[in-house]
Amino acid sequence: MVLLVVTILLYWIPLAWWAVGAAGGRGTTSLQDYPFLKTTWVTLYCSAAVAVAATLAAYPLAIMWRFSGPRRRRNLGLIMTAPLILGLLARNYSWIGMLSSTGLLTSMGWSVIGGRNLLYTSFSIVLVMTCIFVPITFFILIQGISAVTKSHIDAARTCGLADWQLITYLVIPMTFRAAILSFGLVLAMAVGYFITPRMIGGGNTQYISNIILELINQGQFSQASTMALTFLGCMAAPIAIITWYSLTLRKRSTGR
Amino acid sequence: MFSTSLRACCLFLLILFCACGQKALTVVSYGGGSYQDSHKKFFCEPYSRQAGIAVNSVVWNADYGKLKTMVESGDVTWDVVEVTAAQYARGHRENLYVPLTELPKDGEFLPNTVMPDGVANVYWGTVLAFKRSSFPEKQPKTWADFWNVREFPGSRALYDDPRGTLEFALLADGVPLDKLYPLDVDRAFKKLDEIKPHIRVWWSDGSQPVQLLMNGTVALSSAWNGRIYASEQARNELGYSFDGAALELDYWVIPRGSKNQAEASKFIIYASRPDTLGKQTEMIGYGPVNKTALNFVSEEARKQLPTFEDNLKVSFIVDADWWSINEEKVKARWLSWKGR
Repeated sequence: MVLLVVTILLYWIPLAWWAVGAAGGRGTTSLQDYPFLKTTWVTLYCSAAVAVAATLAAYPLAIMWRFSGPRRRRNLGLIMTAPLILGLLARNYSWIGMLSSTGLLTSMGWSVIGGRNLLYTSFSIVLVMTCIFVPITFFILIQGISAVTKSHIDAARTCGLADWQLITYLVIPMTFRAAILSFGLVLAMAVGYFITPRMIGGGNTQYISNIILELINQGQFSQASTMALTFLGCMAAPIAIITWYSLTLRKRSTGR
Repeated sequence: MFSTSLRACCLFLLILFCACGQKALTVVSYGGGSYQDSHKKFFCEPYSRQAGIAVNSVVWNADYGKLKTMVESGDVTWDVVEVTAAQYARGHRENLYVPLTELPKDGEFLPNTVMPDGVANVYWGTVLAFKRSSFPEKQPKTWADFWNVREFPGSRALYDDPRGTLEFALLADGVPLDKLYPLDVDRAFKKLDEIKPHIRVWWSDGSQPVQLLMNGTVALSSAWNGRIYASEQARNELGYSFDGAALELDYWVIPRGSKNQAEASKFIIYASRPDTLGKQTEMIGYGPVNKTALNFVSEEARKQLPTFEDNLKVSFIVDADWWSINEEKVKARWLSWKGR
């Protein structure tokens, strides 16, 4: 109840104030002036791609963590947290260096996969943001994978399951809720990103947040808030679905 | 242990008190990079020594909304701000700036560069730039060449702002230099549709086009001439053309609500002196509005300036009044066009 009251007072009321101002005609109607639907779609599908890729990329690392001894677990944890020490800008600039025409990845022939121009494309945005979010999905997944105890594994072995069957029939179903949670969290964070799409995308791929920032820089606060609130409304649906599904899964598996 | 902690706290409070008591001027430069370095080296640091006050050099990206919000909220932390000519015109109409307590008089200034509430600094140019090794035989010269992807193949980069870019599109479409304004916005966007598939990067930072050209990411780009001039390596490897270049002024202004208006005026006068402007020009290659400053600039450097007569003849001055009225609408259309 306290959280609800705080959220209403500090979040919804100020936003509603701006929205009313926008609706009252302070500035032009933003949705007609901008390709809102297309930009929303681009933002959502890029962010969803990042969320899926970051979750999938973290899975093998989480499984490795689960079946490793204490020393390897510690090293893996250090490897995952090390990039977080660097600032986001520094990491983005490093990726620009690696993906540029004379960069490391392009020189190694990776340009064959994405075409000649790796940098300044939607692909490069998804790639870089996936790397940024993998530490987050990793730490969520290892919480989920901790539920896979030795007795589960022993029981599975007793039933004659091979390693790949262990992962497919035991680990993945038991960590599915953690995977849904990591997908939802990364999706919610990725849709608000504007630095990486701007720097890595080269201005070609516009996120909603880039347009909102541009409007704020021009002093068009009414349009910016209208766009932000409308996007928030659009995001409410997928987030609600993910939350409902996650709660349903929890109820089915634990009865609570 | 308690007495040591108490002494440490008292010392900290004393330092804080001294720091708060010291007068400081905040000078905001537009664009950063070598341009801000030139401000620090020739304006901020020498003025700080001369006047005996701290001068904080800060950079901003000409986000007009930020300046307007600061002034309207009354919480103004900037004392001297460098704004574009269009922003000067708009801010002047919206009463965001205060008149200087005194105006610079040392030297001969170009027309309309010394106003009661704003003093221009330099004319800077957005030029067509390219890597010389990419075009060994025939080099691009005009914006029509920029649009000519057959004769001059390769990716391009353009400034992520319609100001200047629309004019380049119109020049490429055959509009004469003296007939640019008022801009035919529909025609400009139609011409931009042709080049859009070849634009790899919409740059937003002044140092980007130089990097993009030097590492071969793009073959041609619009660029600020001073950023190429300021780097010896860039001067050797890159070529640029003033043909159809967009010249713009930057103005020093004092935001309404600044707490150091008198000191800010003195700083602006210092920065407008012929000797200080001349030294800045020698480093950055932008045309000083104080013509007397050219006496302090070498003959070789003068030829690189946007205000050099040969360069001025083939370039155009961006119409600040037109942009101050139409910028909001055109920017909205620009964002929409880029998103398609």
